[in-house]
Amino acid sequence: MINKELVVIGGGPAGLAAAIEAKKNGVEDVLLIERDSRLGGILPQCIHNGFGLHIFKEELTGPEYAHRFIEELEDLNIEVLLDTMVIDLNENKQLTAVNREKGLMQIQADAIILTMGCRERTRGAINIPGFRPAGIFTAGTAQRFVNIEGYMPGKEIVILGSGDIGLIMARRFTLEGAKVKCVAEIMPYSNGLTRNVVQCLEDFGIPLLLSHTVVYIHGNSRIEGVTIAQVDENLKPIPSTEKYYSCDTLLLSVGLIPENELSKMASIKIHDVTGGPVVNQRVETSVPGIFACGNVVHVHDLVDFVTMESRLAGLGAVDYLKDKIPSDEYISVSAGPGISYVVPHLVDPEKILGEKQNFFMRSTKPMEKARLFIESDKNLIRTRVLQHVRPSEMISIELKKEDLANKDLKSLRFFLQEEGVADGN
Amino acid sequence: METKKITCIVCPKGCQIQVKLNNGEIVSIEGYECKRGIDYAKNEVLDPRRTLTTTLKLSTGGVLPVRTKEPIPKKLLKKAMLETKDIIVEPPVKVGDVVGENIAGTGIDLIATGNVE
Repeated sequence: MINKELVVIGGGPAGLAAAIEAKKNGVEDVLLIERDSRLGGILPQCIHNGFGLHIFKEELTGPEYAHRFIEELEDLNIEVLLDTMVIDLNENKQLTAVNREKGLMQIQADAIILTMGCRERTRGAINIPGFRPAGIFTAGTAQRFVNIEGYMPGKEIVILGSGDIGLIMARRFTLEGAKVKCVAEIMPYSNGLTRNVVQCLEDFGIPLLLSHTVVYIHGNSRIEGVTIAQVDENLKPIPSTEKYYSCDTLLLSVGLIPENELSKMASIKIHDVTGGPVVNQRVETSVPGIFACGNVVHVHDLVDFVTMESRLAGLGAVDYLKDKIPSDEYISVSAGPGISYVVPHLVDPEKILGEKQNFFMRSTKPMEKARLFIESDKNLIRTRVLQHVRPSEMISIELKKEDLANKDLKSLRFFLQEEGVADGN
Repeated sequence: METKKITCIVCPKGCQIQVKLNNGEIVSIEGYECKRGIDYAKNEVLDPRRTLTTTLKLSTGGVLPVRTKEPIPKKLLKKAMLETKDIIVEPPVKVGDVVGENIAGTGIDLIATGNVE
């Protein structure tokens, strides 16, 4: 059994920031485990720009954003195991990892930070009828082929789902000379960031078919085309609207799933909506000393927010290892109408870290203008007017220490009400 | 009088900005929530620009991620892509190294965004 003070599982943006923060704040013995052969997670294949506006106040590409953290990690001499897969984890913070050089390793950690990120939903998750030919890729897999391996998966592309990676790949394929015929989105609104709809589709005249989905896949050995139909308000295809699109490639950008097999092995409590661990304000999970941050907790749309959350995890681990985490008394933070989830799920209103507490949440539907209510046992704590609310764009709300402390709060509940609908504004 | 609707992309907020034009001259800009929005809308109407990000071939196999050092005119994106097709980069390369000069005649260089040893 190898003993480590802190083990970070996953070397993407969350793992990098968490490991760095912990080491900088006094944890000497940090081990970062990554299953890929390089650090950075998904960032090295996200060659487009738009990263880092909050953290670095400049616009970087994915590889550049990763590079800054990888350099810092190296400068801090943090131990890294690449090509190493953690295959087991338990609530006593013992983990089993395996790689080709060292074989099986049993590690006992004093604290653990989970940063396994998320994976893409595939065709199986959305049950598209038709044949099972080659040429159907998740958007992220296609992105890896093009941007890392240097291969083009096809020339005539249809994209199902308007998630950000799908939109980004619509532009990338177009720039590389392929024809992107359309992006079909089953919902009546885009699931990607507005700026990606503008810069990746509108710039290149690629049609975004809202309330449309793929109802059939044609082709035996290689995909030859898809049938796309409009859907009604219950998301059921309308047969009379079916249209055939020939294509040699279908990309799926239909959502991401936090990757929590290890969390479940360690009996960590998982949230129904996010699919990630239930965490408190220190992003500590239901197992003391095991923290979680980044897309493994909930899918973020900006890496900057992942970095912020992960620094919190690093500091949480530092406090835990110094036995400095007091016996917090947590109250539950819940999502009411109009909100699908709020992170953190638990908070101790008397022991906010720093001067304010950040809450991240998503709306259930787009609203041009909405009022956010924050209440505790029917008592209103605060309201805030929000513009252009989109499920795809995470809402970040700060509550000050004085909003929370010394109020004898029993719970916190966030809900959203649409405003200005009646008069058409 | 002509009105152009622009979705601001400076930040994820996505403000809907209306720019009124008279014979190609901006008369008014409305709907922005910060000063960066005004500049964005102006540029988007008069001189739309984009940072081009793509990959170049490496002489050792595989590809190198690169970007234009500054945004280039949107209408030159295709021309720039055609130029990048023929560039082959010899490693080692470091983040920030210039790997293509004066792309599409813009005076703007192409820089590496990844390290290759």
